[in-house]
Amino acid sequence: MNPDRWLRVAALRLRSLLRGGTLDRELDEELAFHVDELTAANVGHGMTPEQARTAALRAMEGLDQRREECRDTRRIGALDHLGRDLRYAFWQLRRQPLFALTAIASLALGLGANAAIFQVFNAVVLRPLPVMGAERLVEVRLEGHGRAGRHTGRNRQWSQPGWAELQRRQQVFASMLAFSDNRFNMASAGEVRYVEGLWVSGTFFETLGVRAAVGRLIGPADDQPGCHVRGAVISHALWQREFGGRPDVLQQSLPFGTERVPVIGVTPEGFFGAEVGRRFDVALPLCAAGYDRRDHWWLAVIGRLRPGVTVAQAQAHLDGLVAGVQRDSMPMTFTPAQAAVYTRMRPLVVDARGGVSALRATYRQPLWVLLAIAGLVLLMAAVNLASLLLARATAREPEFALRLALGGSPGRVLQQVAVESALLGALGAAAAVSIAGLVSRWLVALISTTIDPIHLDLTVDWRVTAFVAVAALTASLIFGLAPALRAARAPVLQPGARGAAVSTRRALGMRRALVSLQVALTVVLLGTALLFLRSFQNAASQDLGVRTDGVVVATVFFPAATFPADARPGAYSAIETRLRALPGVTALAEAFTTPVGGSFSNDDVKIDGAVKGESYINRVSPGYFEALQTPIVAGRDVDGRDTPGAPPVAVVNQLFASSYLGPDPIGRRFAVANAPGDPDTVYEVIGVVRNQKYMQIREAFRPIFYPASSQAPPGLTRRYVIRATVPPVRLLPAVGAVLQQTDPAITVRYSTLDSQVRDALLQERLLALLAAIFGVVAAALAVVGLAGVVLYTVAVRRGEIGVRLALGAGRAQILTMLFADVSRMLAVGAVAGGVVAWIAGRWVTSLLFDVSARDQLALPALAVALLAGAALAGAAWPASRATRIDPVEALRAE
Amino acid sequence: MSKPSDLIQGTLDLLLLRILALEPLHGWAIGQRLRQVSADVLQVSDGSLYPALHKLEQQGWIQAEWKATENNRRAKFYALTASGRTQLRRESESWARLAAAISGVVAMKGGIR
Repeated sequence: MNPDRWLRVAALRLRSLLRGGTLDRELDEELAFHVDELTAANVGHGMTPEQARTAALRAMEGLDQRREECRDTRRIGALDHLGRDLRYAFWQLRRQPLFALTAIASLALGLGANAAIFQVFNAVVLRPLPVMGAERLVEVRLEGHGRAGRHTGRNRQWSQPGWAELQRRQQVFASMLAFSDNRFNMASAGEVRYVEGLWVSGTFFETLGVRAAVGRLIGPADDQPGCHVRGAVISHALWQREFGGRPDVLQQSLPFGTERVPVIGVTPEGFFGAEVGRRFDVALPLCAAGYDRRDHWWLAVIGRLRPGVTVAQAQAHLDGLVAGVQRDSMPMTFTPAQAAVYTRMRPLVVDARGGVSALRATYRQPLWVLLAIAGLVLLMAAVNLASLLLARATAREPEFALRLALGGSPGRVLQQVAVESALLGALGAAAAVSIAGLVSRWLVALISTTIDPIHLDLTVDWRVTAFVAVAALTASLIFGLAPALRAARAPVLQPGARGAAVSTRRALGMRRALVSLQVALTVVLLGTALLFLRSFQNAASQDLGVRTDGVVVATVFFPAATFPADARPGAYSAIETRLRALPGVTALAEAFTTPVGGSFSNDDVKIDGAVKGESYINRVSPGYFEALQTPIVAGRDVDGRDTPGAPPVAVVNQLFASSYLGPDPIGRRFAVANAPGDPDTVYEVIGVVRNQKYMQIREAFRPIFYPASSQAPPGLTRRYVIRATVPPVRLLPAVGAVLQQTDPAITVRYSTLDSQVRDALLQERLLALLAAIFGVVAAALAVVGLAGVVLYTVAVRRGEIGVRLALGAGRAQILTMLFADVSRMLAVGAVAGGVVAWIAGRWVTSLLFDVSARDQLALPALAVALLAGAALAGAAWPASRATRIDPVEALRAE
Repeated sequence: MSKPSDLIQGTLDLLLLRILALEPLHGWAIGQRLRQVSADVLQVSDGSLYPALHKLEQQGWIQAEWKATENNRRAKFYALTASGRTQLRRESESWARLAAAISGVVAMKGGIR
């Protein structure tokens, strides 16, 4: 058959399938036309109109038969059966709206959860960057611990000199790019308004193969050492948001510090930079950041492989030249020990078709776990549906038997049931897709914070479509198989109670197996949920060494013009006095960072000239420990005595003291290296405080020392921690007013210690929340499924129970019998589920915080106990119906 | 399905395709045309025309279109498709072979008195 004809025939079949009514009407019209013409011809031959019409109809040899014959010509093949089955399936669903709703809703829930999580998984892990030839992109990382010094940005792998050396020496990449993230403040006064910024090398856009949508992009000429910012590239989104997509955007400018920077170009729509999970608003040339120190780690590096060069060849090439790169980019301040570690660092070439992503590193495994959990929930929904459909198939047995008796082949009956399952699957999938978008956006909102807004491209692409299709098909197979097999094996018109009873018992056996499976799945889901809840609880109850409630963190940015270096101490002191006097403020201090605040500084600690180890550093003002309520266990806080001229002093935490100083730390000295030629800074220890967490909640306590901020020249950024008895909504406007009155050009960013801690617990909360939701849904489904089977058992065994009651069995015995049955189903499921839950617990161990091996056993056991309790309670009502059976009535029915 | 008694099975399809090869026609006109060109020898009953047309349409040999007649009534016009034309050629050849064979048999010498 040639393709042209095949297409035409397929279109006709489809038309007769979908537009049967229209075709029938057309057929009537066609035949009526013929009859009319024939009647007219007959009249022309001299008949009366009635005679003519009667003759014409007679000539058609029965209009109805002719019509049927014509219709028969298009009623051929399986496709037509399919159409009929589909219509019948629709009719079946409409007849039982409650069943249809339950089935579609449970499928939509299971499939929707999967689709939503897969959408996020796809966006974070699978989808390549929307740039040309993304598959040739690789990231060059630097493995090892040699990065002492300053750290900026999320993907801080390289220093600027290291990147320059690497780029200069390499020969395997057609081109390379470096970038770092930053936030630019677009507010010229008051509370800061951040836009997401990128520092990009001059090669950034050309390496990615991105062309400007408007104007031009940053090129090599813009990125020269010591450059001046001549122009900014903005994203398509910012162009729309800030400039309303105005065509004269190239005549616009952006506030950047105290200057305004002209817009030179706009990137294409959909381009979000090279980091998945983030998007940029403004890109500026790398050189303008001025971060060219050798011990400032802030750059991510991506290369585009030359044609024909493999990742392994690139790796080998870089292995060969890393020694030179490291030698020529060695920070001057490094001690011999630090230098040795730095020299041992190794480059690592990794696939970067999906860009770089700190988010991906954090969430890859949690997303896998969530996918697995969602998969179990889908399986659960499918099993639930299988149970429902099985009951329905049993109820419809007479119908199937009749069809088989009337000559319907088992295959046709099977197809009918399969079509019904497929229809349910398709409707469920459609509902799932419509809710998945909402759920996935909610998921992204869950992991997104005001400080760290997450941006993901959640467009439904072919991967998402294929995933949903495969999931829906698999689910349909699972829930459609059991009822289909039962339908095809329906006894051919076997009237009488015996045959029906046998087949009903068989169906009951299958349903009990399904309930056991549901119990097992629920135990796994509940057990996992309990593990994540315990992990979250552990993390949330971690001792941070501070009291977080009631502390506002205000990061204040002072304009350089009105705050010259020599005026700062006095001006700052005046502001701090006014802030302390605000109503409700009980303590105020200034610090470089706060626990889990995100900033970080570290260095090697030397005692008596020898490096003892590493320590975190937090420069603080007097009152910092009081504001955070961290007790001083020995010595004193920094105070007014610690002036710039006085010998440098520092408070240390307990771990610092015990690790480096020994039993009597007060008055001991330690040193930190400066640039070569400059003498080390020597600190005298004046106090010891309880341990505080520094970067993360999940980290163990680390050594920290706290130099007096009053002894260093004050900068333009000051982070105030303010403890107050009034809520932030009242405090923040008051703080803002003080700053505004001082200088309208001051900008400020607010957060609270509580919210910083909450943000730090995101991953734990996400897993605990979702696992708990899924666990509870699964438990509800299992309990309902079990109660349904008990109800059904009572109905099927009504006669038998009646006989038992008539023969003198007590209500208690009947209940015992039923609950023994329930316990068997529970036990089988619980044992299987318990084992799987324990294994699953081992698999997610790395995501759990401080969950003991005992908990890993005890929590699945608790899940079993909880479910058993709920299941027995759920079975009580249907079981109690059994005891109310009237023996006489039951026997009469038999 | 009723079959025209005086037509060899399958020849109705050939006749319909051949007539439609000239121009698109509606069912009534096809019947009239068939009568005309065969000088009333070939008569297809009004009833059996439409199932045959619908079968040809479903097989993709002809396609239908609703158009106005000269009397300005809506009627379903059938036209030959490209694959229908090929089919017509095939069927014509096989008819010619069959006719020749039958003629050969009928024209045998002797036996008829």
